[in-house]
Amino acid sequence: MTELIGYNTALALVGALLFGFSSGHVGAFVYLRKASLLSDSLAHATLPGLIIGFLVSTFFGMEEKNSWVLLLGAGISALFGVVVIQWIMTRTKLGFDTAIAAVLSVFFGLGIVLLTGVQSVSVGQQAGLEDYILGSVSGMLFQDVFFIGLVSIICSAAVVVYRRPLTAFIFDPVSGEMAGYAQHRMSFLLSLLALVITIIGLKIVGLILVVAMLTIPAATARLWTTGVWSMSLLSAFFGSASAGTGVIISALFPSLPSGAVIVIIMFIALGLSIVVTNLRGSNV
Amino acid sequence: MSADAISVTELTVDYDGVTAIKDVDFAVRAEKLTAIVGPNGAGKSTLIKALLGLIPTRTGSISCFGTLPKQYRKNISYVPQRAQIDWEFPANVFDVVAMGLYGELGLLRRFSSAHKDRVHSALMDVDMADFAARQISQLSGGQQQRVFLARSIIQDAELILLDEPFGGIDAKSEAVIVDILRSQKQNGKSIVAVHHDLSTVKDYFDDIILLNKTVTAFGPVNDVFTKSNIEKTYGVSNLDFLTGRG
Ligand SMILES: Nc1ncnc2c1ncn2[C@@H]1O[C@H](COP(=O)(O)OP(=O)(O)O)[C@@H](O)[C@H]1O
Ligand SMILES: [Mg+2]
Repeated sequence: MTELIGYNTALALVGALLFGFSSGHVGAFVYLRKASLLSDSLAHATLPGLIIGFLVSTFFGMEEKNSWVLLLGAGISALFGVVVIQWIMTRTKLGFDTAIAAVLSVFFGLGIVLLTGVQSVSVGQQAGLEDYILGSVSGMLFQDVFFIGLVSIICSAAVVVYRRPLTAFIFDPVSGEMAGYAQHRMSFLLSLLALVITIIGLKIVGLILVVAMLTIPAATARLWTTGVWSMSLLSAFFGSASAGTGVIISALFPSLPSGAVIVIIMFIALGLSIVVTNLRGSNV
Repeated sequence: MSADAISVTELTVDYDGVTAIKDVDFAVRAEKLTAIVGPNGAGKSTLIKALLGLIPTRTGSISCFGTLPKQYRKNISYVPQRAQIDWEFPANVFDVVAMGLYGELGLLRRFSSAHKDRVHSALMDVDMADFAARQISQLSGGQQQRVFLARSIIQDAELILLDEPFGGIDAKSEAVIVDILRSQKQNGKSIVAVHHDLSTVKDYFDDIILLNKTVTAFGPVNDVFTKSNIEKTYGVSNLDFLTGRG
């Protein structure tokens, strides 16, 4: 296979298949919890941290492709976004939607300002940064793929282990709590999984579209299934297949950002599913 | 057995500084059917949640068979108000009843054929065996309520707390639920249900707690469910509207 598509693309393909699976798997629960907007807010809130991470790594003369510092910055930034959302909700009368929208736009706006600053001082060098905004699989290193793959497997394993409490938490949180799974712990677990998926998806899909990985395969799977577990597995399959196909297409046409290609493929699958399930008179 | 299932003293619960229930005192007899009755916003659901140990209390104490609600939790089953549930959730009737076993199964224990049999027998008890594979979005209100009751009885808990189990359901479901609650009582369970229909209190329940922010009266229905206590709970002007079916 490596002769056919090249070593780099094969690497990216493995990463995309594993990441797509895990994001679809986690995404089913995020979708049922109706927490997609929160995830999108987290994704956009990664931008300032991503750029600060970039500046730090540039300042210390680290290799341009050292993604650890950037992802760490992105994670801290998104966590800070969560704290601000919590703060707005507990300290003001603004609702959840408003808190999310405020954090999403303010953090992203701040990120854009920083990005403009970076572009004016270091022309050309910020090319690496754009990869995280729109997604790019060119130049993925073995350690990038290893990291993305390993974390994806851990996230999916967590979903397998916690499938019962997560299901109870989303359907009837009080009964879940009575069964021994406190609501705040389950809420934390699901947010953490969404955050981790967002961070490891930055490179492949980019921060603007990474929420689609948590949403569209789940919405598609929901049309075909009538149970949580089958839905989450089908969602994982859709995520994996779309991400894999997207990476190959974007490798064949390097000017196409992989994130956009993956999202378009997922969207086509969703559109077809809506048409077909409507035609056959879905019983869901 | 004459011990109290629940005893509550001086219980006050606040939401963000606004008092929902205040200085509530009562006891619930074991192995009886007890109704919590009061107008909308009286704090009935709040009281149930406090009994489950789910919300912080400002003052007072609650004991369930001599222990704190949180420690007693494994022996309590709770049936939420139907309106609080998203019935579009992807699950069928079997799945929902099986959720009653989640506490017992823990994270990883396999769902065995013995568990399956228990789900089916619980569904038989509520006369829903033919609906096991039905999506929950396709049930009537009464059927949904019976599914929740099956999920509750499968837990075999000592104390069963129900929030408006008879709210907006058909006569057949109501009869099935009353039967189940009575037979659970015969099996030694203690049952507390929020109830809104004053005309059926005498038929269905042994004891009653009349609540409107504070407890206006509690005790055996025959002694306590009087016109003057109902007036005290609901206010006189509302009474014509609230008594009787219409
Ligand atoms: N989560 C909450 N936050 C703030 N106020 C609440 C909350 N739940 C209930 N309340 C308020 O507490 C009071 C009692 O509510 P509730 O216990 O639901 O009454 P009931 O079940 O008797 O209709 C009402 O005024 C209600 O608005
Ligand atoms: Mg209520």
